[in-house]
Amino acid sequence: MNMTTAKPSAAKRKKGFWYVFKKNLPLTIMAAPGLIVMILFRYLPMSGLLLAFKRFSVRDGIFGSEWIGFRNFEFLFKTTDAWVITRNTLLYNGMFIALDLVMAVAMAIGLSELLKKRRAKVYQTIFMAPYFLSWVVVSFMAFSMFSVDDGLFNHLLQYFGFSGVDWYSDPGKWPFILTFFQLWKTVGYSTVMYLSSLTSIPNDYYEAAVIDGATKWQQIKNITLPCLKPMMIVLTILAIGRIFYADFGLFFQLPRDSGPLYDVTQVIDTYVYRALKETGNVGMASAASLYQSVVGFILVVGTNLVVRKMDPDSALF
Amino acid sequence: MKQRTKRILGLGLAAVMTASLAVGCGSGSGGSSDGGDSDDVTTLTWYMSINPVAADTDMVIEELNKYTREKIGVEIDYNVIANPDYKEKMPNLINAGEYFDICFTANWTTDYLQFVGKDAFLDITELLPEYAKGTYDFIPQEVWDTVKVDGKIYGVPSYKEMGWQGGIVYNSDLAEEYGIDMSQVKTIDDYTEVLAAVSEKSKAAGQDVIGVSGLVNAWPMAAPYESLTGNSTLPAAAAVPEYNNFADMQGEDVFNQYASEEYMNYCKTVYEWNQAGYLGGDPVNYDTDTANRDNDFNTGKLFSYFIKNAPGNVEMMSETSGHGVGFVSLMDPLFETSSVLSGGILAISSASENPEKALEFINLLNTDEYVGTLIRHGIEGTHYTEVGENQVDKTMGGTLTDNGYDYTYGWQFGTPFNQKWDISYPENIEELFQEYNDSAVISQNNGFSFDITPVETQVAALTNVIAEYGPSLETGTVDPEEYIPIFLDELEANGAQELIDEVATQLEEYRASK
Repeated sequence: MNMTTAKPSAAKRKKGFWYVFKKNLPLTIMAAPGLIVMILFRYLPMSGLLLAFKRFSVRDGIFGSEWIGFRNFEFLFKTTDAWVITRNTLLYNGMFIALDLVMAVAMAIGLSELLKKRRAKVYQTIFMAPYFLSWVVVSFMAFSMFSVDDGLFNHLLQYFGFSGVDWYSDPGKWPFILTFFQLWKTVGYSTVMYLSSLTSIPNDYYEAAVIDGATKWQQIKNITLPCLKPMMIVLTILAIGRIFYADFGLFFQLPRDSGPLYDVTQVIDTYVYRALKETGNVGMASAASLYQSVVGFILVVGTNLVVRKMDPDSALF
Repeated sequence: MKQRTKRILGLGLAAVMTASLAVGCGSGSGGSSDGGDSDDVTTLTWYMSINPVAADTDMVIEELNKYTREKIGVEIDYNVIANPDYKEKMPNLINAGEYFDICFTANWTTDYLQFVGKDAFLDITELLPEYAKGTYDFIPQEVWDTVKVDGKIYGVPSYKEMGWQGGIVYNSDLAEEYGIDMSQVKTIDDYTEVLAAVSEKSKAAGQDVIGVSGLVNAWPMAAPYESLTGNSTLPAAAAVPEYNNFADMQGEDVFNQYASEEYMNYCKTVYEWNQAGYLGGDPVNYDTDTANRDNDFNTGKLFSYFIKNAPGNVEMMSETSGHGVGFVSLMDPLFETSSVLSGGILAISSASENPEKALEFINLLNTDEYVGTLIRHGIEGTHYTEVGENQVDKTMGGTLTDNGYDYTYGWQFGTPFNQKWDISYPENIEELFQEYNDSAVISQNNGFSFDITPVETQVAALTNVIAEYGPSLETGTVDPEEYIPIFLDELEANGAQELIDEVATQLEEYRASK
């Protein structure tokens, strides 16, 4: 984000565009590939947002189709599920962000404190592995545990004399199951991010602290955490920008689209998918995605504002 | 300076956007036929969905082109995509304005009504009698009626069995072994006894045979109704007098089938079945894994399942399953608008430059037996040998196991009546079809197709509600006494009545216009 703002200073303001352009030519060329990709894939498709306000006709094309105002947005709010969807999306994602932050930072510090570096690498790889699994694969792994007649858990329960549980129609258990799998899958990845910024903390700080007689805990509290703060803030702000996008794989594949669980697994993405599967309405799909983006945008800017109020140096922009 | 940079950037952006727009529209009319350059041969782009894509497709299409070049001056640019991918890709291609002449459409892939609504297909009502007269005369009027939208035809339907017939296929070897008389079964309620016997006898023999599967399809078979929206799960049904059901809805033109006594009864029955353990413990998950289901059926771990039957199907199944297969019909075939839409339709693009040629080609698929047999079974001598007048042997006398080109669901290319039959079908297969079609009940509102646009918001919400409650109720997973009232409340709160009212209004208009 910072690379695009090579602002000319006030003194050069009188000089023309070409002067500045020539002066910054090497930088411009360096930025060009990224900018072009960004324009092609991020900005040009935005004209498709018009579809959110239109009744799409193939013959008339995006621009020729008839305007219908906000009618495409209605299906998101005119349902009795509107509250459930919003609640689930925000609460789950909020919880994921908080838990992911705490666990990833804790694990990163733990790993970096390990004396045997080779073992630390092994653990790191193990934690990271689930990140590369597709949700479809994970859903079948979960099914082998939770299946009613053949599942691992039900076999265990029956072995110890309890009666089996109908996992896929018992909504009470799923907030925990979903949170567990989400963290299992993503914490390893965030841990690596924090580990990388841990290595950039100069060793002198710790040496000085040891000489002053600081305990391990005091070192962590007064050196490591403050040094990690900028990274934590950046990652959190970015995550909050996506708080209104739920992970479709997690909420659709893992519960195997089971009806009785909708109360705790229905999020905005699964709702839109189910709603538009039948009608395939392009306009309504665009409307949903525009709504998600706008909310995400407002939240990112909002969070950044709050951060800037509290600690101007850590703000993202 | 800053202002100027911005302005220039903005201008550039606008220019690029406009350019890409022009390209986007241009490709619609560009990249099409290079016909006219050599002896007036027109190239038609045909997007086809069929499963699985045969290995020798190119060879067969080359052979086809040889014939069609001579006959009608047409060459086919054939784009065949396997069913699961077609469903994802074709709608995107159409929405993106990709050029095509002919495309396969049905309500299970690249929905016909949806794309008619988006103006993607050409109105061929006028062209049909002129350029595809043979086909137009050959397909019965009732079938043409079903593809009409506002009285206009936008595609050529596959003419095969008329309508759908619900019933149960079962392992007849096991039935004999357990001494079960399947001829006594006339309704779903009768089946409880059979299931009890299967459960008891199989347990006595030391096995645990699952009684029945496929319940996700079973509800409309328990009490057949006409689905006025074209989607049997949406709450807008009409009674069909021939079946003598839905007495509590008498006098209602359009009603919510989930509020009927029949629905409650059906759900109670299957709930009992599940409680008694006839369904294998986890019917929803069991039902979705059809490969596993077929395997269990073949090995005798599953006694029976619900299907929509077609003539010749049972004979085919007893050849492949390794044991005897029987079929109990639960109803006479029902022919309604959605039964053709759930088959297949070949539609012509509204942007097509050669709609007349495209129609002539579709006409060949439906009336020229050489073309029909070629596209379904491949080339004679390479992929099959002829047996008598009307049959082919895809194993070529038992020497081939995988011949490189053969399609079971040949009707997707047009009509099976214009294609020779494989010898695994009974010899009198066409008579069986005739019998089936003669016994079909034609629904009262056949030809009415619903325009979903005014109630799309409600349909979106209702679809979610139905996905939440329908499958678990209809497979007996939850107690209907407790959940049906909640289900009905939710439907009501999400605009079921508005949908029903809209259907009723459109139905009235349709009747008035007729």
